[in-house]
Amino acid sequence: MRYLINVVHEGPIDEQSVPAEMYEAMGGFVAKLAADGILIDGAGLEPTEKATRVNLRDGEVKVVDGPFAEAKEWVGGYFLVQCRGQDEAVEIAKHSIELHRKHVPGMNVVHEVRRIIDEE
Amino acid sequence: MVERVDGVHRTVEAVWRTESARIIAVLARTVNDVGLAEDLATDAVVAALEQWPAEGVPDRPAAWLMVTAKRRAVDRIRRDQNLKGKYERIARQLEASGEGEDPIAEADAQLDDDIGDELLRVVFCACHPVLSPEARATLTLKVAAGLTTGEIARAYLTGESTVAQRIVRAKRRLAAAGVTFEAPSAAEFGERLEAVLEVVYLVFNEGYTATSGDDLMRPQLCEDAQRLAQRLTVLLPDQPEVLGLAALLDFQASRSRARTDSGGDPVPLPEQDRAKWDGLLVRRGRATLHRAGAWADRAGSYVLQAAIAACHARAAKAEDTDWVRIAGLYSRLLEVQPSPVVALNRAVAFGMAFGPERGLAMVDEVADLPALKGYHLVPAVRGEMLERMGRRSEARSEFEHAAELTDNSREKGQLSRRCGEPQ
Repeated sequence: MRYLINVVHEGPIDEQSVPAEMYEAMGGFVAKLAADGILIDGAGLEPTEKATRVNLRDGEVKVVDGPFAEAKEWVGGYFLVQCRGQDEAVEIAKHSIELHRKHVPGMNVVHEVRRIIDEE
Repeated sequence: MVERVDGVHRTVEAVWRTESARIIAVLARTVNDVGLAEDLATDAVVAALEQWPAEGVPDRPAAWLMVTAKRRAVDRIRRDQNLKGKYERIARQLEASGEGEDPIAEADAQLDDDIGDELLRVVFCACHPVLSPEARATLTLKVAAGLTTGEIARAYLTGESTVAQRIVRAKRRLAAAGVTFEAPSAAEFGERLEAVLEVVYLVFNEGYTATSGDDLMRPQLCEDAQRLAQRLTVLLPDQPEVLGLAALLDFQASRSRARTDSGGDPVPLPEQDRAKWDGLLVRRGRATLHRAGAWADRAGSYVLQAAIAACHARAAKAEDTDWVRIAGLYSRLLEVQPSPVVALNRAVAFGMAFGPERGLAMVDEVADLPALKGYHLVPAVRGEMLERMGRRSEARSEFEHAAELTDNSREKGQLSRRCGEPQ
């Protein structure tokens, strides 16, 4: 089974407040997931200031460049994992959350675990 | 409350799945024995099942299990007269290491350390040649792939007590044979590695041959094998056959959605809907195979099989398949793995690359080999070639013959359809 774990941030992040230890710890964690054959793919995303939204609203298509004033939550990255079930995916998410808590205590972040639909 | 206990139970299983191999590896290093390490880790899981529902799941569950396993180890050694003599020194060590200021943080650090060497030893012990292939697979799934005894039982369609017994016997056998927690010597490394890869491939095929109606646990074995293979590529990055096997499994698994139709009948490779192939697995397989390419001159059977699978994966349409290249790869495969089935597949590839006459001649060269006697694919392949040559009635009788030879009802049906007979 595959799960997409979206790393969702709330509010702005001051890049300076993220210590080098966090990047190091996250790098180690990702390497461990890969070494365990769990990680299929994963990456961080560029900030939403550089993003573009293609909207369809009431039949009208609008292309809007970031930053988006109304956005409170934004996806900062993702893990695509293959594991036996949701409990395991949740454990992976919890592990990553623990790293956030330990290294960037002030940060609010959500890990949303979503099962990828298998058409099988 | 029941729901809560159930939720904790699932959490424990999930933690076991991701962390047990590391926990067992670290414990095995301490007690110099994989079997005992597995016992201790299992003890810790029992403790978790008792304590977590009331106390809540700890923040660092893996470290908690490790600390608990160590404490249980000390208790057990002190209580058990047999263990006492042998392990008293270890008990003292464990006690000292568990009494630091923050044992959880210490255990966490131990689990984060580079324990690749220990993980590898766990796998080599579980796949030790003193064990039967079946025992090797069972023990490997338990100590290196994080499956619970119940999960292994469901995957192998057998009872939990049977699997538990098998594990106990395997551990006894290792102890009786004096197998300690060591890596194989340089002299026996090649052979021992071959045994490990064989176990991983065996587990994969166990899942791959499961039909869609089976319990999902069986197809899941494919993912377990892929996980083991991936881990081995990190532990043994310079072994081309390890990379070859990991790539091969990814390529094969990439087709799992396309290889049976809605009725469960197998769909032959050329007729598969390639849009259903799993692009992410193809990509990972290709990247892994690419790493093995550095040793192309001494490519072994897994690398060559993966290279053949990569040729198929590369073709967007069946007609685009590079059969000339595949035929060449089969010739090399036949050199390193001279088996009749490989020879037959090679004939098919040559038939596709250079015309059915050539293919038919090559089939006939190997058709009389004792190993292929009564093998339904021989007439099936002959029928295929004859049909392509326009010799329809000869082809039909070959398909008829093939249908008689196979026991698999689905294959029988498919072959019969090709004879143009009502079923």
